Amino acid sequence: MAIVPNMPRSWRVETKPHKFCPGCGHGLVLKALGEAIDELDIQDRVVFGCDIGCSLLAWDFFNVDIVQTHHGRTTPVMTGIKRARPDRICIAYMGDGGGYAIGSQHLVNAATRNEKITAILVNNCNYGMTGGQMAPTTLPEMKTETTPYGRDVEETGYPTQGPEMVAAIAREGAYTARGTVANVRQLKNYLKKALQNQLEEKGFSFVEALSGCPTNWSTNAKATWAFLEENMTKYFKVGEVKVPVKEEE
Amino acid sequence: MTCQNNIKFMQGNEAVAEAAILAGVRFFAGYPITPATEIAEILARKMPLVDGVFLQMEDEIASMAAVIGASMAGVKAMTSTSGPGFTLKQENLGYAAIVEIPCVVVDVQRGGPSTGLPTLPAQGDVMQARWGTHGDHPIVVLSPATVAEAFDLTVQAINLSELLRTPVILLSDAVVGHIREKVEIPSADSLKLIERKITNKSPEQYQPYVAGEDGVPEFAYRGKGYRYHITSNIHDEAGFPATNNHEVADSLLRRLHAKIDYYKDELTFYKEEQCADAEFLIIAYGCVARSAKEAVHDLRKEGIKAGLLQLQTLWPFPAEIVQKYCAGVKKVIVPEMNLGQLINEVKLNALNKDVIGVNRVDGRMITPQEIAEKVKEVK
Ligand SMILES: Cc1ncc(C[n+]2csc(CCOP(=O)(O)OP(=O)(O)O)c2C)c(N)n1
Ligand code: SF4
Ligand SMILES: [Mg+2]
Repeated sequence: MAIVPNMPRSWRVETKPHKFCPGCGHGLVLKALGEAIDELDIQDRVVFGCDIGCSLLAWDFFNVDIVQTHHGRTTPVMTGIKRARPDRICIAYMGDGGGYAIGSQHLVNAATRNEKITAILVNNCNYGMTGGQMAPTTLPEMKTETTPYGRDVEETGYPTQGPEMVAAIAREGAYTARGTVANVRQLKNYLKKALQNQLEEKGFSFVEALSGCPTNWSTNAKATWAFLEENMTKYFKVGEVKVPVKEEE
Repeated sequence: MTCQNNIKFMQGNEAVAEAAILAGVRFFAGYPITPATEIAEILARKMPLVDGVFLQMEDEIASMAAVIGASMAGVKAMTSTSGPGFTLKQENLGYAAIVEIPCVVVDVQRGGPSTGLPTLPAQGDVMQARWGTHGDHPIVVLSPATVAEAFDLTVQAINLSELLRTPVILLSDAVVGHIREKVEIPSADSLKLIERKITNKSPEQYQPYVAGEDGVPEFAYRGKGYRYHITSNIHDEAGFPATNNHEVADSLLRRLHAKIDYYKDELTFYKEEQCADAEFLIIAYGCVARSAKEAVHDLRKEGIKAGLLQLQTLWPFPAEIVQKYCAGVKKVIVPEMNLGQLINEVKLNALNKDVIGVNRVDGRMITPQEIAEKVKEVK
């Protein structure tokens, strides 16, 4: 008898195996998200928005309402859905290019308005879908297709630290954290807290997930994890950045 | 004399990047997007080698704005993109047009609307290239069909933007951008380059928007002590906003168009194939011109007198050329990888001949057979 792997209830089983490259971190982030949705029992209320980028490959991942938007625009589209139907649980799922470059104004302004949505951003240090160009998160000295001589921080600045940036803007009630696919349980807890924040209508919630892109990094399994756990976490600190103050203690 | 070394085998996108460097572009700002990304990637490698600037910006709005800024500072500047990104360029394309800052935008067309068919060819941006930004703006749009033309027309686009002080669009497509072909790269000193007219007036005498007979004002770089104002509002010859002055508005807008008209001959490019005795004229541009050329050969073999007018300049639409070529023919066929965009312009100029479209929007090339079949069907 075939062994059926344990999959979150909210997943669409018939679309597995998924469409990401082997070893891609997106699948692990979505596994954590699936478990968080299951544990909160909100599958029927979730609207999942994905960006243009490899996140769009999640278009058939879940058995929930799904919408894919233009590159960078997932946050405002989900904002529209949430404002029109506040009982929906709106998730904007995007890459680091989508969230920190072309969509950065939307992230900043959603945080400013304290939109009651959950943004999840997959940080893989590059533009995966377009073949490995520099992203706002590309590490100093890292070579990509548009930083052929290595990322020069004098020219292009330092990698964006998203959760810290959002935490600085967001108002009381917002939740921001950075997880990693190297610790799926912890990531799931962050995602669950982010969604809980939306459920309790406290404010904006934002979780960045450190993730691997072996295809564009040209790394094997071992080198992928090494890059993720050594190079990335040195610059991008894993942990909660801003949590709402407890009302009663 | 051409030496062997100058003959290269390269992609259309590569030819664009190569031509840009040779024609003196020293500033590129862009944002990755298929099928144009190679242009940015190549220039990321090459710009530092010629002391130029390559900037990956946060999006296409910013890239276009940065290109205009660089050109204001006197550096030849370019950007490249495709469908969704081309739409984001539009805001600042209008800005470049009214402040008369030279710049080149390469749009390697893919299937739309929206993100449509992200990796497949189309010609759906013909009207966006003309009318994508708001207001009555002038624009020049050139469209290559081969890698060699991609090279040549990139040089022309850069030259024309300098000559006319206006944005110029190179409307390529996924076929031309990605196909690999032979191209002869001219030596740097054999290339005829045009530079914008720089004023030799003193800062006190200089009036930034006084134009000569050709309608193109002389340029003074930002940062050279010419303390004039650049505004996207309607402005007078001194460069100051004049938004309540109807006469100034009228004369500025009319001059922006008149300068393009003045240089019509310099900016109208086309090719013809067996048109002298043609009864059936195919009018095509971009990748589809490749199939059309083939179709003409096939039809001629069967004794059908077909000819091809390949438009390399799409905007301003070469109305007189089209009229001239339509004069002696029985029917006009316009194959396009859209549901009929340039055909409407052709109809206005076909001297009441029947104009028939061959259209495809499924991301597959129109084949020579399809075009030939249509000619035989309407014959
Ligand atoms: C306006 C616009 N510009 C550019 C693109 C091309 N594009 C598609 S995906 C992408 C980058 C994706 O990178 P990221 O957001 O980091 O997601 P990843 O693929 O790495 O998960 C780009 C630039 C586009 N679709 N639309
Ligand atoms: S390109 Fe990178 S991010 Fe995209 S699916 Fe492949 S491994 Fe994942
Ligand atoms: Mg990415």
